[in-house]
Amino acid sequence: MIKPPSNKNPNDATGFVSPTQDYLETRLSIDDYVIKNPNATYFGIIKQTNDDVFELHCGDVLVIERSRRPMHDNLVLVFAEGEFRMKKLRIIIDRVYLAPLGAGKVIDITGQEDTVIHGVVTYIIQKAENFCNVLR
Amino acid sequence: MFFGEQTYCLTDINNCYPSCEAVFDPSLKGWPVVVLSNNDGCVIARNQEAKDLGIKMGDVPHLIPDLIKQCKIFSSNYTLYGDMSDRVMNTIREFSPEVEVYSVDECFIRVNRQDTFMLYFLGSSIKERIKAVTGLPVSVGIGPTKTLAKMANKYAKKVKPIGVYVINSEDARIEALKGCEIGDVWGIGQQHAKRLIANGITTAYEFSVLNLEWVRKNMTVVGVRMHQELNGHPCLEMKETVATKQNICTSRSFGKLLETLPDMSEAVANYVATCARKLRKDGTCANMLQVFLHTNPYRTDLSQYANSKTIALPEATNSTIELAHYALALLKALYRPGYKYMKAGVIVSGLIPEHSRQEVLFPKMNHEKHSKAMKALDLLNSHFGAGSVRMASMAGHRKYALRAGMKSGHYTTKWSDIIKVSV
Repeated sequence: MIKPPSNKNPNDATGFVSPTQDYLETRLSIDDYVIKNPNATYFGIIKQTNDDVFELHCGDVLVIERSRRPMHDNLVLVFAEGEFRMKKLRIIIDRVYLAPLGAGKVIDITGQEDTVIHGVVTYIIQKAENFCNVLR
Repeated sequence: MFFGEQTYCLTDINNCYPSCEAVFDPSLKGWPVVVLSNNDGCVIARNQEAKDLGIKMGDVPHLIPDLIKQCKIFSSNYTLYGDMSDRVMNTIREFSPEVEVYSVDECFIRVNRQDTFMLYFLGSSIKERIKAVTGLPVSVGIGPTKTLAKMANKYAKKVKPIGVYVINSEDARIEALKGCEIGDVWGIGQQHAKRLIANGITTAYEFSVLNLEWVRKNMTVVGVRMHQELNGHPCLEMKETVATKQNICTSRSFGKLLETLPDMSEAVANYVATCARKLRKDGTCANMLQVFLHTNPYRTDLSQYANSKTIALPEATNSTIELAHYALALLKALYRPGYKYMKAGVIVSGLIPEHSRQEVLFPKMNHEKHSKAMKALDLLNSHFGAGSVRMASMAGHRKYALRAGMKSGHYTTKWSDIIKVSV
């Protein structure tokens, strides 16, 4: 991310050299934390949730890493019935399944070439106020 | 045939624009897809299905309604294609430090020569990696010269689904050249192609076995170079640094015909801002500025007017403020009321590196102040999105804006456009 110009560059200071100069590090950025592979990272937004899925809300942002090899228990992005959907990948011995996040059918996709996984969801960014709405 | 130490590898995105659209809308799979030029003028890109349907480059949609009806149509979304292209090029950089980005969808790298198996492995690794990172399909051609890499790439597209072809032996070279029509050879223009075909030379192979003297006599130096390259003698070097541009032109046809000076001024102010931004990005300054405008020459029912004016700037500059000042003055001098204008443009030329600008004795402007203001402007615009901070002259109703009725989302550069997901 490009930061607006700042006057706080210690090299610009007149008078004594700041003692902090040798200890400078770049400020933390959430990009560094959630994006491991920028070229393969895309974003999605949840537009429709299942009522059973308390943890997720419309407007939650998904960080999707396309090049990551999907593993057991990963949240993955698939395209079905004209829309992108987030599913849980289950790999049990030699069979591969897509499980819904709420109630619903588990689908066996073993050997089905036309089911494409469009990426692995690596982070979900959520407003804290939505999280507090969850009553159990 | 001569095989050197170095090998060139050309990666090319298959049907780049339609493929980018399909990544973010997988429902397009199996459909013919066409992408239209700015202002939705004509077809500039097609996927394989659209090619099979018989749609040609440059076709005008309303002239082929029956074919177009069967297609998914998109206005060009250069923001998206540019970002996807960057991702592809960055991925290719993982494979070699010597990279030449040749166009939005083509990229050369240079690697050490290895055995054929290793080169095939390299090619398919590049292909797989780009597919994983971007979802885009590419073809890879590898050969001892850049032209042979290009030929191998063309041939790779024919030998689907591998999409990789390596010229590392005389047999492989001849096979690829025999499969390539003379018109498809890089650097051979239509005129030369016609003449060669008239002489019975229809494939790249037949051209490559021609007597070099004949080529020298009948074709330009470009033809000779191609002949040598096709025979495995490298003549074209990697261009890792882009040569300094001679000029920068920003011009577009308006979305609809414009009549008034304020409307025209707004368009020109925006074009000049684009030129200035490009100058600053390249670290250059312009010495000359041209503004041109014209009416629609095909509208014979309307009165016609076309004109252009160039001035030498008092000092070389890349400041939006200064360039806009002169461009608007030029436009005012060019503008005649009573015409319907179709197009205007701004060309900056006489480009010099920023640091070699000559200081004048009595400067009309404070360069340092301008350069600081422009730096801030560029930062704000890159931070908050293009066009967030503009000159007042650029603001208005954007009557000149492009028609782009069927543009897909800026899926990778705009939060409001990211893909929608259901749970």
